[in-house]
Amino acid sequence: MGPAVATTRPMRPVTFLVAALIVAAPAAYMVAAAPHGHALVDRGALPLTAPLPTTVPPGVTLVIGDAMTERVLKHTGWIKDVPFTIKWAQIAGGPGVTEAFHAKVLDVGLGVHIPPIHAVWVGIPVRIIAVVMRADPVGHPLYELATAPRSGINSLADLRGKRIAFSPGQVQGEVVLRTLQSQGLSTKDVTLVELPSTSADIYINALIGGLVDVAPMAPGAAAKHYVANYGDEGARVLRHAPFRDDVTTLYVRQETLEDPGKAAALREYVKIWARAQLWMQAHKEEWTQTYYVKDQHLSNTDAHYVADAAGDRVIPRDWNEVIRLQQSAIDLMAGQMGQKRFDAATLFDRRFEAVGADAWAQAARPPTLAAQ
Amino acid sequence: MNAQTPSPLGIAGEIPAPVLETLGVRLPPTADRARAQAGQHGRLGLGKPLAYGWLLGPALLIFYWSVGSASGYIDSRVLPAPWATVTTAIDLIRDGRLQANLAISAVRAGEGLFFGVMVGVAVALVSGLSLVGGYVFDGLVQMKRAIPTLALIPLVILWFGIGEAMKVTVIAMSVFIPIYLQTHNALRGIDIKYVELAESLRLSHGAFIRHVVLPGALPGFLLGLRFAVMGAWLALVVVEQLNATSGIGYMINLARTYAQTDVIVVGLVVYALLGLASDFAVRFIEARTLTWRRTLAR
Amino acid sequence: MTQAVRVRNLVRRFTLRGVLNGVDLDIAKGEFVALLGRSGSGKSTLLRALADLDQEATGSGETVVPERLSVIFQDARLLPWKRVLDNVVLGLNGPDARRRALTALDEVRLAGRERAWPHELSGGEQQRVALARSLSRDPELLLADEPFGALDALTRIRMHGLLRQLSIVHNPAVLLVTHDVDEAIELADRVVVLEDGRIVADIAIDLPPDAAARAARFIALRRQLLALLGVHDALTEAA
Repeated sequence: MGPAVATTRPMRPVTFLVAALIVAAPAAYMVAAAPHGHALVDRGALPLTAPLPTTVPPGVTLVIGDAMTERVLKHTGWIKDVPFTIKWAQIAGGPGVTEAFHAKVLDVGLGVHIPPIHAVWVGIPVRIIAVVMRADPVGHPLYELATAPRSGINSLADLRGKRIAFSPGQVQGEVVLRTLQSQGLSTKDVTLVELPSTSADIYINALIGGLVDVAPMAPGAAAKHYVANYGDEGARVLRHAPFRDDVTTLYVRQETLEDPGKAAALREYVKIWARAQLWMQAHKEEWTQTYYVKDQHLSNTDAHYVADAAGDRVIPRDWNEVIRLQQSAIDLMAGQMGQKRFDAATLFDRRFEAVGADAWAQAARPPTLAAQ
Repeated sequence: MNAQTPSPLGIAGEIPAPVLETLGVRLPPTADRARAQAGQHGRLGLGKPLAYGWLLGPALLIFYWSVGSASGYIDSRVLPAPWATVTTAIDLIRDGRLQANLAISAVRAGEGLFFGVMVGVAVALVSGLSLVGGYVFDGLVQMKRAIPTLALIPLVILWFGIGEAMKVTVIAMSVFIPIYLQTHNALRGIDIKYVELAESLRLSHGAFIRHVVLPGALPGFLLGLRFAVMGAWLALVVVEQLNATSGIGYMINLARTYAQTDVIVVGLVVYALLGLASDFAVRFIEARTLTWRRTLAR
Repeated sequence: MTQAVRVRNLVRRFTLRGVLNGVDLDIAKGEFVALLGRSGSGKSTLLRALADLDQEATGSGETVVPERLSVIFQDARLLPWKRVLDNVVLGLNGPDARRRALTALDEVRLAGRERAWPHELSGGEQQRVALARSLSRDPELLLADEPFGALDALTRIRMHGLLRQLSIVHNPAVLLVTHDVDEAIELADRVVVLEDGRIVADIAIDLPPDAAARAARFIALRRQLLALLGVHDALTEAA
């Protein structure tokens, strides 16, 4: 029979050549097809200093992550008047928007004022195109500080030596730093546990599970139930010192603004967004029912609780105060994050400053026959 | 390349024989292997296996990754170059972050594996060796098996919180199922002819279990162990995405908020290496303890 | 008592078919009995009944077997995860168990192979280990169920010689189930033929020492037994 031990049969030269070609082909394709430089210019780039176009060309789509505005537009029917296509993304919160911007799958993100700073520091150039604030930020803060059961913390004076949930890319992080400042503490006097807050239950679970002693928490239904369930074990919610934590922004990647079609669409969106903000303000009960009860499935009590905690909102006439606040935030966070300070004004696209403010003011007037 | 390479050891999966021999595993004699090899090398067979042929796939992957990165075809923000991944890994090691998180992840997985194996073997012994034990436990385990462990995480969080206890529990649950299933089947599936042999030799019940049942069930248990190890890493990955403040998964999560794709890739590579290393370890144990097995040469 | 085995009126049923329908059998101490029969005649069933192996069978009857009995199966049934010596020693208690096992291995001419794994041995060698395993217990009764059926013809011849030698030395009673007539005549003192679950013949094997007479007697016995089994063979016809 044949040999029990196989002899080596060398590969024929032709076979080897063919195999080498098959392997090399995709590699050669990769080299040839690689983009040379950043092909941004030939998309009709719009310089950031040029005036905003006022007409939206056909076929423009914006991917927007803004659940409240989405609800208002659909409820009032204004969505039909939008002169471009909106794809609604269910992305909320700084970390989510950062990730989506990094992957370039989102055009417009919603975040309190820290995420845009954070985006710049992680290498994603962004601009703020709209700002809304609370009318009474001290009486209606965006965040409070919740303490863990059995943490032994009864007031802000007890923070020394405790573990605090810290998310430097979100406003929760600024809240922690400013609170420490207000108590004369430095970050070395406490233990900062870096934990991004990407959903409502993360900080709550961290408190209950004993991972942290203190965590920023929005005064909403989740916080209310947390205190109800764990209050008798010592869980508390504390107000922080009177500083603003409430400046909410719409922000976009810089390259989105350089696309003239999208820039025009953004302008239209900010106008309609401002009208939506006023609508929520003017129709509080209807808004509570439509969003918190029907869309977010909160109970009637919880829904009113949340709506009341939010208080009144306002779009500022100009951004000077906001830019000043933003600069102070940049200066504060830069030290903590080991990042370089930069001029806060570069974070804002002031071409949009009047767009939002004018739309808000106009919507506030009683409707006349010469509307829009 | 060397002229004559023994085929990989069947029971040890794909560990090449040269590797095994360097590790000191004695390979059984080659009568069957030579015969099988001749079958493979005949004119119509697969051809002679190469010593390190199994490296070809991974090598091609790294080759294309490198070419794509170097040419710019692959956007470095979406997938960093291999060398960037390496330098990031070195930075993380210098920082101490990589080792610290790796140690925590490994300990978590190790604890989960340990408890899962202990409980799995214990329950399997009770249900495999006794009729009543089987009636009590087997039905319950089959029911549990129908529900993926990862789907039970919300319940586990409610019962165990989100600390280490929960994480180790979820991992242990993922380990328990394959260990139990394979060991139970192996115990119940002892060839009847060995049972008859034991009866004819008048072996006591204890001697029967010690000499016939347990060694006979060992291959099944080891197969279960391989699945269990895979399940442990999978559970670890999921569990570390949730409310963790340490571990490789935590490191990856943080990297997401900083758009540090290179750290994410390093974390994934670490997971992959851990998975491979543990699978290799199990196969090594198999090769060492099952030397009596006739090789199923490929 | 000079009797090793006593069977009276043994009935064994599996499901509906009756396999043993009233078997009476006596085997004296040290007697070598071969049990012949066609396939399905019930010979394995009888052996297994004596070995107390088929728990789920129903039936009636009385069997008396010695305390120390040993079974040899058609497949050697060595535990693959134990080395040869450990297989022989399996279930053997007492301080001299190892020594007895080594002696038995020596007797079957496998001295020096104690540390081998079963799968490294040929079929014949494995069966020899099984023999050693049985012999090391010094059984009063050896139940052998077609022990050489799976071996090639040459090995079988060698094994006959070995078994004959061992049974002379250790002198157990032996019940050898086989379908090989030649084997039965070669080895046994007595041949019993089983048909349809009953014993239909019981023939003493008396082979004279003289070579020519022995050959003639062998052929005669062969013809007789084959006829009982319903087989007509050219060789026996010619004689």
